[in-house]
Amino acid sequence: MPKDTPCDCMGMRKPPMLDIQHQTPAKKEPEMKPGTRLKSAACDTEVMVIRCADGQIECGGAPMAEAKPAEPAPLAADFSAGTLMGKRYVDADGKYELLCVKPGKGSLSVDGVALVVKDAKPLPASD
Amino acid sequence: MNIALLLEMAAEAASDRICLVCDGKRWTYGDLLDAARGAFELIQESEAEYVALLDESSEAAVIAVFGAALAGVPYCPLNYRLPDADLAALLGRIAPALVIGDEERVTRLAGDQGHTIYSREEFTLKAQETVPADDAREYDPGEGIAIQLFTSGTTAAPKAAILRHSNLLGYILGTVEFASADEADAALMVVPPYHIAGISALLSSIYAQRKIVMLPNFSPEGWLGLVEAEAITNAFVVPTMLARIVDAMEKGLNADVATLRAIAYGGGKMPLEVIHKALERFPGAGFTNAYGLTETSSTVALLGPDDHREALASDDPKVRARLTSLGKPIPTVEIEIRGENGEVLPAGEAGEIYVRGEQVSGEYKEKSALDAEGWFPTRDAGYMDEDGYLFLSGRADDVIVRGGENMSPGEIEDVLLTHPAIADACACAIPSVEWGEAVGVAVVTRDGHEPPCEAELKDLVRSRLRSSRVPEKVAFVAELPYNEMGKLLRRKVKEVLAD
Repeated sequence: MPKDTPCDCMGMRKPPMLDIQHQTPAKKEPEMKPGTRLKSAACDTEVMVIRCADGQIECGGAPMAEAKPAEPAPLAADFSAGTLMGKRYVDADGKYELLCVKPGKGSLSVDGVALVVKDAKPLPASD
Repeated sequence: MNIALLLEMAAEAASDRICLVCDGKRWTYGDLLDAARGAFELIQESEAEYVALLDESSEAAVIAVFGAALAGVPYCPLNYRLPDADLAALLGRIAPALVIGDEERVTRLAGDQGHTIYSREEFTLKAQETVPADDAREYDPGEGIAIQLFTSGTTAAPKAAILRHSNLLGYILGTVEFASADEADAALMVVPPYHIAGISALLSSIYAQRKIVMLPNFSPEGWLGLVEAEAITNAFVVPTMLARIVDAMEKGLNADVATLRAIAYGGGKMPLEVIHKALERFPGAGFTNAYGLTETSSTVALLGPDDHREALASDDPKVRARLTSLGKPIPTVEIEIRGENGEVLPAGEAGEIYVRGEQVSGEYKEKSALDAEGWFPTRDAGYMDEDGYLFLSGRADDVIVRGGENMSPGEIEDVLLTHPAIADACACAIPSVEWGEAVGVAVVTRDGHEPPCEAELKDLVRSRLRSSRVPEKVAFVAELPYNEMGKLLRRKVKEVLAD
């Protein structure tokens, strides 16, 4: 079983990698899009982006990113209610929707505004 | 977003919990995720453009669907009941594929099409043995097609319906609470893997963390036996299966069905008599009628347990009639009834059923059937009553047009079925020199009854419906032709009536 399977066979199916970080000095995050997995800098929380806009997605009061920072950020008291596995979190305008795929102690916000839980509308076991 | 996320989350939350029971073997969420990751490697190596399954339900179907998703290759379960020539043509449409299942048949029919072929056992074993290279594996982001299903082709050549990761996730995330099932919950799965109901049941149960018990070959004995042995709480059946289960119970087949609290049915028209009997035989179970299509990622409307109970207990004919309805649209989709010119019709008027929502793909490999506003024309004919209950009258293509008047076969059949000597009925168009089309019916006489005379049946229809609905031709047949999913094959009845 070759461990270094050439990537070509996948190449066509993957979007080109945007290597923005190397070209743009500053702190601009890689382009956020549905399917991006973000990690909390302040706790164990991980979310999958379902819907998003240009704002800053935060957890525990600290910006979330695809990689965890070397130094954990402090957990802000105002954003420490915790996240629950499998819950979807949305903003009031319906611009953001995040699915919690790993729970943690922090709670989610966008540009400092807390997100709220959106419940599924369970069906009476139809399938 | 990739549908593999559903299994990843279930495994993350409860790796050692039992996900699947099949042929006496038990698989945990962790086992299946590991095997799906192994399958990813096999798929990558094969350079296949599809992952196909030509097999009954088993763990291999679960491993294949998620392995294909991780690899970003559409999963395409095939109907093993198709004749050789049809199957060879479908295999040709998805070459080169990694095909799992009936090795001998695939080799014989499509050995020269460049497929990579595995038996079920070989695929499962290899997927388990193939350790994923490392954690840094790049899995597909899930922006493309998750599933390709060939439609059953009851009216024309099979179309390749495609469901994107976003359609299926839209359905699951919108209608299932993660890990909401009790540890004792168990769903009995009996629909074949190539049916959309089988796929949505799999995804729903995994996300809810409800144990799945597979019955690859349906028989009433096997079904009732598993209900008792595995303490089944939820089950989905097609109408013909429920009819056979109830029939077997009436003939004395016994099983402890006390754990069963939810029975859902769909995929074809449920005879009123069967549902009445089933409600008696399973007093502890809530019944749900689910209406959906391949192109809508399964359920878009349903008639829930409360509706069933209310209809049964009511003296109001309108409320009682709901037992024959599809129920109401689920909260995450919109449904409209439209006329021939695309205009939205008011309550009570029959037209074509249109559906819109995140779960609605409405897309075929060749082209999308969605209109500019995202509405999918289902080709199903029906109407919605004042209370929002949706009634199906048949396929739009089955509508009988007699002298410019549209008639649905369903209303004529429902009347014929009220005759005590009629067990089954099918109405369809027959050629008419005078009217273009006229009504022909094929009926099946109930066991132990004398066939009623033709005039009696015509009078019955005349007494309940407009005279244009009175059949011009009546044929008595031993049985009506159904496919294995319980779909009535009207074109075959048409052929009989045309003679």
